[in-house]
Amino acid sequence: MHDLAGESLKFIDLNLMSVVFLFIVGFIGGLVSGFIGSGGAFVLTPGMMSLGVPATVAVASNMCHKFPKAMVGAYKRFKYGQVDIKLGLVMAASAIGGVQAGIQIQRYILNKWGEAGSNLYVSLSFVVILVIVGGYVFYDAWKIAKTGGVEKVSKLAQKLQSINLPPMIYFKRANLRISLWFTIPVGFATGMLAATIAVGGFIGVPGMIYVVGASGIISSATELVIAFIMGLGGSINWAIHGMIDIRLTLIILAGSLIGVQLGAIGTTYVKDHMIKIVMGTIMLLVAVSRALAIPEYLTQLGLMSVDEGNINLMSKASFVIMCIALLVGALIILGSMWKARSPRFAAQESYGKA
Amino acid sequence: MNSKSDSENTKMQIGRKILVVGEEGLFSESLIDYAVQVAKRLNYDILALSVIQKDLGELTDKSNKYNKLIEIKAVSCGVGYNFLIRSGDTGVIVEKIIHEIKRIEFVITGSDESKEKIAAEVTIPVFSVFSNNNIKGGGKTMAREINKKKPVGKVLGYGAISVALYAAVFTNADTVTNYFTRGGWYAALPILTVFVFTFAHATFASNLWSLLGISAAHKDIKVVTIEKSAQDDVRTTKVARKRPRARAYINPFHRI
Repeated sequence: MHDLAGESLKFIDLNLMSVVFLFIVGFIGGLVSGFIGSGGAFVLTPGMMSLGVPATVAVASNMCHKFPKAMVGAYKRFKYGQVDIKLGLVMAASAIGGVQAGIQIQRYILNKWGEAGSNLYVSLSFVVILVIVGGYVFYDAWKIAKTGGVEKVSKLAQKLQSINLPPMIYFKRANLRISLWFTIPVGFATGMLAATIAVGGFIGVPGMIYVVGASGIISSATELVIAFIMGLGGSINWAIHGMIDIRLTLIILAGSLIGVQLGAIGTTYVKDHMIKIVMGTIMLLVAVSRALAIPEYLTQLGLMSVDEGNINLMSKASFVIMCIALLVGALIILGSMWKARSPRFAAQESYGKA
Repeated sequence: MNSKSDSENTKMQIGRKILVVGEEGLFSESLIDYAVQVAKRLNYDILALSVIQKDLGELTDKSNKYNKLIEIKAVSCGVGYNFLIRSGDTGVIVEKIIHEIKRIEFVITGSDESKEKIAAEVTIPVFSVFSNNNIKGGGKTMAREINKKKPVGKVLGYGAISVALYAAVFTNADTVTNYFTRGGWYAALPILTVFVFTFAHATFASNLWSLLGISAAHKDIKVVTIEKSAQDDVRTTKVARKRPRARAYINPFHRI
């Protein structure tokens, strides 16, 4: 087990800049994931790598901060009555299967086409899934906003709920009854995506909304339960291999535990479709960012020729857009919270003064 | 059963007012003080409503006693004042009064039970006021505010624990990373550490947000939407029923 860690200390020296960077990204990532159920990881992992942390350590340390963050978020939102634990457990169980399948596919591609091929596969899945799913989420949110903020259960979910295929499960909090056979693929896909692009929530939350038929607020809260279970399992696995840099984990955790609670509180201020707006926006921006990384891998595979200067520029732009995606998400959350808060606050003030 | 004359009632129709509700002819002193103070600062009038179950002489006497008491306090603060006695169900009566007498901005009651009864019937804000003797200077706290004590001690306490934990790890960073990356059974170390840190730091963060005044707006979001549906239906039908009344006001204008 110890061999993976290497003999020399592979952990970077921390300076003030990197500590502040990790803390802030942790905070913003926490805010976003408290609100939409996932997020942060897609900036944190490349962010840590840009500080010189090896990829595996970055992934491991990130995952080790993810599960306590998800736990706190889930607990907070459970108190607001937004978490369907049963749905979370069913989804998490099938997601574990998905993770295994995802890892197998990754291995197969790595053996066949090498690292560039594997990277290309990851980036392509990112772009394809995020554009399709993110685009639809955004379109749906826009439609809801236009029609006055009334969320409807999707036609697909209605149809699936009406099919009586035993065993049928009743999810009390989400207030729906659906066959187990329809929730398993959603969980499986969540796990597979988590193993591929490290952000399972991008498929888990839309899956729960449009396939299972739960509301945006329940889905995003329940995703935190899935993230906790999967993150804990993953972290134990990484810890057994000795890959977790606890210092990095703790610094990110310092920020994200503050952020995640603000995000969770935020869900009680805003209209339900805000979750979809934030999620759709982030997914589309991340898709753009990953699309910019594709030429590099295509060049490495000899399928395309782009000169090195441009590739460098594109990979920098890719990272910047990724940060922007997170930042925009955070700003929408804070903005909508502020908007929802001001009238309430004004009323409180006037009574409070008395 | 209105104890004031009609002309005064007409006067009451003009200004914005607070409806203060006392059940069984009972108004607690803190409720009266609070209502008068709020009305004074907001420049509102006070409309006190005594709800009694039956038309009992004794209760009416009690109500009249409170009527005097509130009047004295209101007048001394320069707040416009009127008093009503009604018998029946609190919620229904308040709803009726809100429609009869215009410009009632919100309702204050002396107990949570009556607050709930009223809130189920009306759409304007309803608050309850508890008597809280711990507050110096005669300040009164609205019922909801009682739980919102600023958790300064907790923030400092858990903040200190959090800082101590971080200091402990980062001053011994080399030893810690050395043990924590040994793998195998040592894997329990980082996982346990993270749980301990999370407990201290998350409690600190949670209290920090409440100290900053940022707390959940309406808890039980989904429970409300699911379980409220029946109540919602009632409300929509109520609103629908009210509409014709509004039209009756508009019609004369059309003729002009």
